[in-house]
Amino acid sequence: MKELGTAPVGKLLKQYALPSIVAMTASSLYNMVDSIFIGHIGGNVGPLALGALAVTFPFMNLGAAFGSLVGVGASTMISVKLGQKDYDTARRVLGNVVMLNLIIGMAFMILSLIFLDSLLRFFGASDATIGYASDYMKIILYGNVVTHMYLGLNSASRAAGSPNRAMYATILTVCLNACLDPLFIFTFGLGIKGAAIATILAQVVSLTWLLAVFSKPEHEVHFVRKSFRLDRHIVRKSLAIGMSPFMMNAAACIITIFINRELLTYGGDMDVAAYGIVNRVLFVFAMIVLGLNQGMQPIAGYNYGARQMDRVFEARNKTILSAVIVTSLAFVVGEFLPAMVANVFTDDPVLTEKSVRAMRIASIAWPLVGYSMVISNFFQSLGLPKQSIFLSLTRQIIYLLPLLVVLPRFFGTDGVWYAMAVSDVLAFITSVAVMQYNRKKFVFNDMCNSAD
Amino acid sequence: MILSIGRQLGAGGLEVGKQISERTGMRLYDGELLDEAARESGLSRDCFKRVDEQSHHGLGIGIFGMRFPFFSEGSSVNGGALSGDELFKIQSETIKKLADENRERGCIFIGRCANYVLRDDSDMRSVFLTASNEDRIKRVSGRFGCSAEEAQEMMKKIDHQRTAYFDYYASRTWGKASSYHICLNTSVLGMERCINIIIENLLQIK
Repeated sequence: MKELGTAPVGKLLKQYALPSIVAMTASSLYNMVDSIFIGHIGGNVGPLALGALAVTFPFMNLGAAFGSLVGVGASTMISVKLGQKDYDTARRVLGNVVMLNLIIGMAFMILSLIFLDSLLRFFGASDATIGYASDYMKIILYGNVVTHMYLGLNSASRAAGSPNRAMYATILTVCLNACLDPLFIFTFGLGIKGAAIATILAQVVSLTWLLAVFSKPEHEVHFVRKSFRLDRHIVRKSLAIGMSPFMMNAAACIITIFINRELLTYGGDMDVAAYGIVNRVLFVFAMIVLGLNQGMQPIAGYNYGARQMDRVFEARNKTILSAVIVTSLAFVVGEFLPAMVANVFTDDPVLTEKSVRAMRIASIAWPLVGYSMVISNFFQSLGLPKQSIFLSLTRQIIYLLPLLVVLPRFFGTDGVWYAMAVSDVLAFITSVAVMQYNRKKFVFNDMCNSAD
Repeated sequence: MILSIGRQLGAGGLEVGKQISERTGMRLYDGELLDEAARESGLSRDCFKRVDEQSHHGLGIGIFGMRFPFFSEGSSVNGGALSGDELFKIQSETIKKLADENRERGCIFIGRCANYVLRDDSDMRSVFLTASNEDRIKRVSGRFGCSAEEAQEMMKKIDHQRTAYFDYYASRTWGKASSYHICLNTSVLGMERCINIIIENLLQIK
């Protein structure tokens, strides 16, 4: 741990950020691959199917919310217990993860299936897209327990000291999905249903592998029969820890619903489909920045704790520089190559045109986004969550939601894309202001005593 | 011999620890533990002080994101170098190290889940101290110079924090007899007898 205070900051950043970037990018590619294949379903179905897929995004956010409700808390507890070599409790937490995922996964499946059509309508489905959306969602929901269990065990595996295994499981799922997609969508002619089947099958394979690994008694953390009994303390603690990631995903769900509904009201299915494309593309870049942030966190945190502010700022500045390069790349792609990118997803001229316009507007402020994202996480790394929450809230809710309601009234569907760009600019200004306002937090009285 | 003292606020844990240390020569670690942990890790003492015997894992805190902000922009699961979890790990390694260093002379740890951290150490003995409400209020108001009401308020708050801390990190119940080797009530038995019981019976020092 002390190397965090002494080794060159640039080297540390590389070492800590690379694994996170790989994991983050892999999971965003997963969604992208699905969209690309679905977009190329023939007979004019592709663009509508892409729209239907965008309508199911809020479901995916909700699923992720319930997944992290169990997963984040449990993996935090597992790593704490492993730090104490308390394998017995770690095993009990693992067993509880499995049970909780079963219960929550089943409940989510049943409730969603009962209200599926009305929920999809609420999420922005039209008469033309609801058929595809419900075909897709039904299969995803039948496999919901598998998805939850796979994600839960994967993060447990990461916490249990096997980050590589977790990464291989992710990569295995992504590759399997990419291979099975064309088979089920085109060869078997199942269309959008085929994409859902491929997704679930890929997860079944990875889950089977993870289950086999966790069943081996030679691993310190493995399944024991009596560990599956729900423990009141473990359940309560892991739900409490998982509450904020849950809220975060739930809020993302609300925003997606807003965007879809505004697009459907002022435009149509093609605009929703265009959002599906833009979202997938920008998401990849955002995930890379999230990976960078994860790498910065221990370095900035430790050195802040050790009162070595020069190293804290060096870590922050290097991360900002890398993040801005990444988001500027998104800007370049969005401004100069939008047609090329859109054509990866669709051949349809109308959808291509709409996607190009959307991408041009939505990515205009992206060079600034890297800065805002890093600053928000920077405060979190230093154990200053209030500033971090404030920045995240402004960027993703306080600015975006009202703009999403107001701007489309004047600019139609363009207003939705403007809302994203304007809130990015406002968030950047806010980040600079918050950084300035808090600068006295970075001066310590005991600075001179801690020079060693 | 290593002694771990768990205690309600105002039950006289620190006094008992000091007395035993004076009579037996065992080293006493209370707040000094934090200095040691800070020195070991290279982090500032303030970091440890901030999370000392507290667990930021309540439901309300969970919602408002002490660990995770609403939209954690890539916050890692374990919350980085300054999270309570990471600091607890450093602190427990320090406890183990101090227990090893002071094995001949013996040492006393007050609170901080030492009985859990050292659960596999055959030299470790643990005690939990309670006292009557009146005695606790008297002790707390004397020590912090506050009124009886304020003392009562403080007892409630600190004991609540200690419960959350112990239950989370030690995965057992704070103040429950089965979590310790013996439990003593300093009001019923008196300080002197408690000290004797611990020295003669629990630690079996002649």
